[in-house]
Amino acid sequence: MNLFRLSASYIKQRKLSTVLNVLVLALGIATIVVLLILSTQVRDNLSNNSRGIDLVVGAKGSPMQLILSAVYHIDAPSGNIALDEAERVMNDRAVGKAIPMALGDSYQGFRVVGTTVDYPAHYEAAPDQGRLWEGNREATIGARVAKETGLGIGDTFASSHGYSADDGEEHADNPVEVVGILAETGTVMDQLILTSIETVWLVHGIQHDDTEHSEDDHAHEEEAEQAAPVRDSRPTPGRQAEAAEAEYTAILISYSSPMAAAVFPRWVNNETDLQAAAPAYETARLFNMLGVGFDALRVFGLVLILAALLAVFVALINALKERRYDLAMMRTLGASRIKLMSHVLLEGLILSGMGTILGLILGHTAAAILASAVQESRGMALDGFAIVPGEGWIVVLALGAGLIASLIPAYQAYRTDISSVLAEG
Amino acid sequence: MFTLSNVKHRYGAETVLDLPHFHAEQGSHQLILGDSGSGKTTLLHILAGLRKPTEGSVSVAGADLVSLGGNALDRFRGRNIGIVFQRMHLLATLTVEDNLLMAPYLADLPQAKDRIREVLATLDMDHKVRAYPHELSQGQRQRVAIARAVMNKPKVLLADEPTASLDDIRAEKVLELLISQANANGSTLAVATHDRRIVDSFENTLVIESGVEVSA
Repeated sequence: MNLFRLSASYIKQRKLSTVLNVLVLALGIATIVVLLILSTQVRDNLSNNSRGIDLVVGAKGSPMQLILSAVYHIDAPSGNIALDEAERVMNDRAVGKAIPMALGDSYQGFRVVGTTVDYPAHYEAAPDQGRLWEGNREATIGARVAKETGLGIGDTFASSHGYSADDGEEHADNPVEVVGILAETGTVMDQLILTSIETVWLVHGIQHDDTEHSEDDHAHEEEAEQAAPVRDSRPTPGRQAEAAEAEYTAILISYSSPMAAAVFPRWVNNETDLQAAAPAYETARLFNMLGVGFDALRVFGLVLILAALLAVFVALINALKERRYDLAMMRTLGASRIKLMSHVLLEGLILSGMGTILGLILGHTAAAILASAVQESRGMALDGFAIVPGEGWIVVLALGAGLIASLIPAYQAYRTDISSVLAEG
Repeated sequence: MFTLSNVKHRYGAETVLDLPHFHAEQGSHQLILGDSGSGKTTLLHILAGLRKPTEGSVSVAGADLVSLGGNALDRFRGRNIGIVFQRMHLLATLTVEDNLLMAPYLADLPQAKDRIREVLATLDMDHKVRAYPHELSQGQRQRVAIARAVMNKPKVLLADEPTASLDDIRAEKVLELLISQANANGSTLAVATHDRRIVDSFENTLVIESGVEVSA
């Protein structure tokens, strides 16, 4: 016999009440665990993907959209930018490293990015098989792209216009060959199809001066009209006419010195037709907006935990009423007051411990399900079973609260007057 | 063995017990006879160290229960005093075996399972080790309660109304069990009751009325 077996025997006896107590507590903890895991990992993902990128320059419009489309490849791009304007920005003294990109096409929902080899290098993504693209009509694909589309080295594919997997016009007569597959990095690289900027132009029938002529040189009128690298859902006056020109969609920029942050973005925004947006700032803004929702859910989780503790408290108080004789009897058998108090405290602790363990399991399972759904649609590398730092505090909080809920019942057990209880019976 | 001298107990202004002298030799059998409200339960609780008298000294198995307090008193009681209540107060969540193990566990003594078998065998209950209290008859529960009280071989075995609400045959049987268990463990037995049927089984009887000793 020991204290744990004794306390456990009473918990086992009140099955219904125990199951309810444990379940409510588990739901509260699971809610908070899910929030914690997802918010931590989404934040990590976002900051991983924007690391080292000080500024993104693109077409005028929403700065948030620019960041989402050019850094995280979530939203649609805001439009294209003329090469001469782009060159002006890229050649500025404040710019340390500039990675231009042309966006707008996708293959089976995975985005095609026309860029330079600096782009994968920035994320320390190297080919796991094959090599990086060199000539035109060559592409290096991310690890997840390879896994989900089944594309391998030597395969060719035709990208389609726009970002939805099932509609959008296919550039069937402009196949691109896969020459390499990147090793998995846990960044946005995993779900991109990388190719040269010229290839993106070629696929759209655009000829740029320093690119070789495409074999299927049939830039007829119809194609030219919808050949913008970007499917722009907001038609801008005059854009259709110049759509067939070689353009970038966005430029990722690292400053040459931290001082640049003070003046360079303002210069871009005021003195050029372009827009500059800082990923750090926009990401923080995004999180502030999401934060309201997170906070509401967190309060909900805390309310559940509070309700669970109340339930534990009521269960123990009621159980103790029925158990006064048992407690008095234990005292006559030699149990000290402290032992009885520990017996009741342990009961609360076992209840909250079971709720905590179940809550962690439920929370991680729910997070894993949500994570796979998010991965499906947003391409974020989330792991529902990863342990996040805040979880230790949840365990401490839940057990501590279980202890507090059983303090009053335990104190009642402590001061039971054995003689008068037994005289009643 | 126990000795009470000049013990008085009051609830508020009312004196419920006034015993100048009450003594029992080690191994003797003592009956405390009185109607309800006579103060016999108070006396039994004082003997058990469950209640301290307002005045007087209480010596049980060589210890002064008035000066003992807190954990030391609980510990002393667990090791030296066995108590059988009219309501058995077996723990419903535990098996017979675990109920019996509670006695050495709570008294901080080694939890010897062969002692359980030994005691249950003398009570013809060894086949019920794994049963829960609700699976036992009233008489079987009473035996388990007696077994628990003698688990730690107490110096003093106390029983409160053990025969109330039992028919003559059963009352006699329970009394036999108490006496034989007290003898087997060398315990001093004190039984508090209003049941005059059992007076003949005791060599010593204390009759109390309104807390005062009267002649039988």
